[in-house]
Amino acid sequence: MDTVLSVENLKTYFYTREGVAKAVNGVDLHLDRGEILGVVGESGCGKSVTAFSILRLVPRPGRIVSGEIVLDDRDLLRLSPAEMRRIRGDRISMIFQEPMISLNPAFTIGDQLVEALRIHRNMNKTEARDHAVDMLRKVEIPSPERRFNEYPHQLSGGMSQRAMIAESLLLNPQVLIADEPTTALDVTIQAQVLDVMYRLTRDIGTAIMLITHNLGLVAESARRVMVMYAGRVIEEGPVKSIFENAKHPYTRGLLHSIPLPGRRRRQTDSRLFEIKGIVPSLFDLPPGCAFYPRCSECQDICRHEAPLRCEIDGQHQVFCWLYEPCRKGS
Amino acid sequence: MSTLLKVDNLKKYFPMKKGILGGKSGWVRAVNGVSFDISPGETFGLVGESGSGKSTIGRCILRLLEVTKGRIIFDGRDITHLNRKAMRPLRRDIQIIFQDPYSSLNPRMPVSELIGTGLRAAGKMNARERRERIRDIMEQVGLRPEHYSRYPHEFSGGQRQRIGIGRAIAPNPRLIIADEPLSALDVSIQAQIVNLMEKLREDFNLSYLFISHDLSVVEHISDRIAVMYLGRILELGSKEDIYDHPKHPYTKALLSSVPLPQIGRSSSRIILQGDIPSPLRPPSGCVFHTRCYRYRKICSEFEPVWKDVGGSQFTACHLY
Repeated sequence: MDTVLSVENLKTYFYTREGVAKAVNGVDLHLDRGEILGVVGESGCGKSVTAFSILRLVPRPGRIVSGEIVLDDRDLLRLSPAEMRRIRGDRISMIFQEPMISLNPAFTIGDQLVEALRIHRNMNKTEARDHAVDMLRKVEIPSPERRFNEYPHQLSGGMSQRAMIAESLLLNPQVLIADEPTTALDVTIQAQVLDVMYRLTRDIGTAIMLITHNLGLVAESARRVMVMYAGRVIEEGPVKSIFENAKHPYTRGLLHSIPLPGRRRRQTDSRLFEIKGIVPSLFDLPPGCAFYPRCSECQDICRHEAPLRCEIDGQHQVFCWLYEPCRKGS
Repeated sequence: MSTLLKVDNLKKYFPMKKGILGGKSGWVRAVNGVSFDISPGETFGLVGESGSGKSTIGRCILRLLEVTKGRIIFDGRDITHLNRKAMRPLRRDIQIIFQDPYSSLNPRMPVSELIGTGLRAAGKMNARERRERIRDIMEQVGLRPEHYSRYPHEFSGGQRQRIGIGRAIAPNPRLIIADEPLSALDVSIQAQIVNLMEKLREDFNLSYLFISHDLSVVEHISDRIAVMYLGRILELGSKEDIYDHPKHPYTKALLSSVPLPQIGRSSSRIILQGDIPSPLRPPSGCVFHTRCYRYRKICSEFEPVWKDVGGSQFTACHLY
């Protein structure tokens, strides 16, 4: 498969008065054309900072310390701010959890769409307008001509998120980063919005990096899954092997801590599985494997040395000392 | 079985004001005729989407909001219109756990005081007894002794929720209203809190009114469940009734919308059309008819009545 986006050894640190927080601490990832990659993990695991780093929108006092982000054979970290602006929204775009953050409250929905088309595509006013209304129709906003002239606050949560999808897919990007796109929505609305998002990206051929804490969303739609913990990828693989044959104790713990329909009624031991303790502070990461203080299968080596990459099979890999590491270079 | 709490045809309307003169322009019917009861030791789940009125019910029971109509009966006593003073002794019996452990704890109070305020309602005790009782509660909710004089900002979200739970159980309540107690927490922490709440229920024979939008958690923790939509209960039944044999089209759609962390689930998702209508102008007839995929003419004309659909399961739908 051809890769549209690849990230290598990305490190993004936040330099604060309290010290250096290693929010992203050596992340490798790639995204194939048109695929959906699920990125899961709990708050502070670095999934959102990875996304902001790819767009080069890391807020201060954060800084990308090292790494390579390659899109179309170009390293985004070497581009000038002006070149980067042309890529953002055009080749890569993003949907956030809160539509109100990315939609400008002072402009109508239509103005925001038209502006993007005029800047990036040099369209004249009528062309841009027709195209924008068409896009609103595609995301199934009822009476798009009327909504075109409305302001973001006049839309409900689900409608704003549809408008966001319209805006982010307007220029047929290769990559869409969707950071908790439906977390603020009710479940019945979430189902509608995801339906629209997946249908449109499939038509355009856009690859999605779906960042979420909701493992259910990932199980349903992603082709591959990446599990992050304390700024690193700890396991990654095809969705089926992650959900049915998870290797990392953290991934297994997460999957078991979620109540499943009817599970309790089928089992004698009815308590939920608990991962003990809490995530470590990013200012003061434990040496070795960051998960060891919470791990029930912790060995001596885990406390001192960061685990190496182990290949389970094909695409499934895990960073854990329970498994035989790959030899260097292989 | 005996009844600890009975909510009878509860209504709560909020006035909508318009313009600078504040003239009333209508009523938001947040809760519009809701009835259910909770037995001692039972966990009763209240699920629904935003605007369904589930949190308002919790607040009415605690009498943090004045009830518009209907009755709230706690332990055989009508508490709907008790004044503040008469309500005070009941405050120890009914406690609440809030969604956001960041804003619901006074940042200027150490853990000992946060939990200690709950003890004030529990009757007189001397300083030593009080200290011991606080330490005892801290152990119950999984806080360590060295946390005694620490302040909320020194804790993670999960630990703060433990403090909130400690504060709630301090006066030995009989009913705890848990209003989205897990929504602000990470998945691995949610499991810790769910298990803690279940342990406390067994240890102290507590009843919970568990208010949540998370259907998986509600199934896990509840004995009986009510499904709410726009201020009304559309379906009520045991956990098995609701999850294995849902009757109301809304319950079916809601359950099918939940993404599950399982591969290859035979997905027959029901995607509802449109947005949730405003509670300011709820639809005529059945409140769900504007989004219902089994809509018939009668649904917009007449309000469905409450029907017994077998055993302990009830629904308000013209299909039955």
